[in-house]
Amino acid sequence: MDSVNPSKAGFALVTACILFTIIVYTMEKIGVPRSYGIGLSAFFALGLWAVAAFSGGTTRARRFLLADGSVNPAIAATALGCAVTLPVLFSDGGLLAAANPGLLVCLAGAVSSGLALSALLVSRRFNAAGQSDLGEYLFRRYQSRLPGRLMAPAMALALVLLMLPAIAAATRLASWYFASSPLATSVAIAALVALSAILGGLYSATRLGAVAFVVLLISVNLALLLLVLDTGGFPVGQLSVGSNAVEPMWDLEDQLRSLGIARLAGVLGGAAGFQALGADVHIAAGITLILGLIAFPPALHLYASCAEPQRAGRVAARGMAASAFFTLSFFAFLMFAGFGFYQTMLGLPVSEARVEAPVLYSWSHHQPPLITVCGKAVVTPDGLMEACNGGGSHIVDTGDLSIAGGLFAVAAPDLNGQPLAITALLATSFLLVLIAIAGFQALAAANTITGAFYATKKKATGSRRVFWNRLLATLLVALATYAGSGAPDGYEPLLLGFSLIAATALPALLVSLYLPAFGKVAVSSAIGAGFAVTLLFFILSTVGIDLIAGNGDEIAVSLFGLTGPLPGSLGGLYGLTAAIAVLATTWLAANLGPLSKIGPKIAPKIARGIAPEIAPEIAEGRREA
Amino acid sequence: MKLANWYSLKRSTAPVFWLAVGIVAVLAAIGLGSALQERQAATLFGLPATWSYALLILPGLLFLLVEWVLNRMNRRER
Repeated sequence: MDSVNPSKAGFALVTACILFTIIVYTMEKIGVPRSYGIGLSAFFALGLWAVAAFSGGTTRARRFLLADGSVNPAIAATALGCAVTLPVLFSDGGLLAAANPGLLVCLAGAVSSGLALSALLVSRRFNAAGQSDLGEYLFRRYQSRLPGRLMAPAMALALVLLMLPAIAAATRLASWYFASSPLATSVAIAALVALSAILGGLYSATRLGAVAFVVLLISVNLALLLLVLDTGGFPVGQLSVGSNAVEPMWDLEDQLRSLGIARLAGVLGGAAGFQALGADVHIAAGITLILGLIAFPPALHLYASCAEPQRAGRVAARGMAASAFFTLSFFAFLMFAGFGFYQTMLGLPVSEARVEAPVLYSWSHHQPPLITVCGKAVVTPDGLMEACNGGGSHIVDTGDLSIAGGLFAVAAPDLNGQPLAITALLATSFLLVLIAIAGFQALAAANTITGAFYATKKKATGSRRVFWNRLLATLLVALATYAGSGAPDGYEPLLLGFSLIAATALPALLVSLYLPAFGKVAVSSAIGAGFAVTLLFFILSTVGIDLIAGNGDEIAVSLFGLTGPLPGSLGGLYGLTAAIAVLATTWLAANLGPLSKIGPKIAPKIARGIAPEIAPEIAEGRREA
Repeated sequence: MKLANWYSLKRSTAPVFWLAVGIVAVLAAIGLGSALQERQAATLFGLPATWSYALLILPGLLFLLVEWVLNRMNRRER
């Protein structure tokens, strides 16, 4: 990994992005059909993916599992930024900014806070432990297979749940952008995700994550810059977003509301149920996200891949800064795009819209259609004249339009009259990031399982573990692709995944790093309790005890401070409470209950069996058992 | 039976706990406050102060704090 010079690689990447943008822009200006530009972006995305993933391909176990333990901090920090982007980015990002910016802001704050705590509490100590995954780490730490083997299924389930919205979002985006069949696209995306995880393990996944995140930062900031220049004013959109986009947009929306004209939130289709919930539930989701991110398995892998603990801490802190910069840019981009959308569309006669707003008909042959006018997907400029009742003199009103909400972010430049090149770069970067994120999840899940079930065997070899890792990662990606194909709301699996991590990995990791008094039994019980309570709460509150949804037997339990019931996917808050309760009970039983009297009596006998030289000291109380 | 090596914990991560307690307290206060006032997301997060806090000030402060704490830990280890 040290053979890659981050400055040179970054410069090459920026140059490639600029060249790609210029080529697509030129093609559009000289009249080459848009489909050629779209086709070129497929090659660009595949090229970047192949450079990152194939150049990192390896058969060496240490390189596969730990990236040789010498990953460059800048590359690891960028890859970490990519790995934690999911809650903010995935396809509903655009929808969020318009329908409920508060949730987007809340999730962004939670990502920063979670990574900060992870940097301080976990990064250095986990790196010092020397294992790449929680399964093997718990085995080495407790010299017992039990905690790791309880942890592995919980982590596999959590990471498959996190993979699910990423793969589903990538499939939806690619299927729409390349106008390809959903089934073929889903197979292609699954293959790319699986290859990202299995070609070079952590070595290639880190490179791909870094490349994808740099392209994402370039595309979002380029799109933002063009939007800001259109609006005028201070050109740094991240700082001027409040005065130049948010406030004017809200003033405009107030006027629209008083006139009874639809606002952007009403125009965007596909609003998910979770977004409509109150701020208190969103804050509970933010807290779950913070807790889950502290022990986020892909982040643990990246910490383990650093040469020394100090570097791991630095990676976590800089990953947090990179992620925060992206979120701020993305938020500003979406706000400027929303305001620009009103400026482009409001008061436009249909006859002028044929020239001024080609976006109204240029994406109609893609599925789902990006935009419908008066309920019709218009395919040609002339079709616009007949779409609404008033003919050519009809004035376009936002109420006439309906936009596919999940595509708003990627199509925002087009909706604002920007060149296709910007949309193409955005689509490429979103796809790469979603593939890299899912690849990280698949790799972390497979590593945790093999770490717990294979690496603990006496005859385990690195090369055989790599083989099992590859097989498992492929199977898990296939499972997530299949399960995600019909998932209507991406938030439920996302939050349930983080809930499971918060209820199992977090207590086990913190106890193993900081509380040496708790042994394997306490930690295993805590993992089991956290896992069981989280899943049970989810099942009981979503489908009820009979596993049939909507027949009234679902439980509705509130949490202190919440006005309504806690959604089932946030059961990790109860799961973590249960895990802490189990740990506290174990400690109390060992110190205050009958066990505390038995312990000192049997400790010398046990010590005599395993370490005869210290047994007398234990018996006389000069040494702790 | 010793619960934890509190001395080492205190030496290495004391600011972390205050940070964690601070974040949880702030979030809990906002959550509770919003619940009590029956505020909706649109009004609670409609404040530019909340946005600039979550997107700009919080990450910036956290980054500075984390770097400072990590540097302190590194110096102490050396």
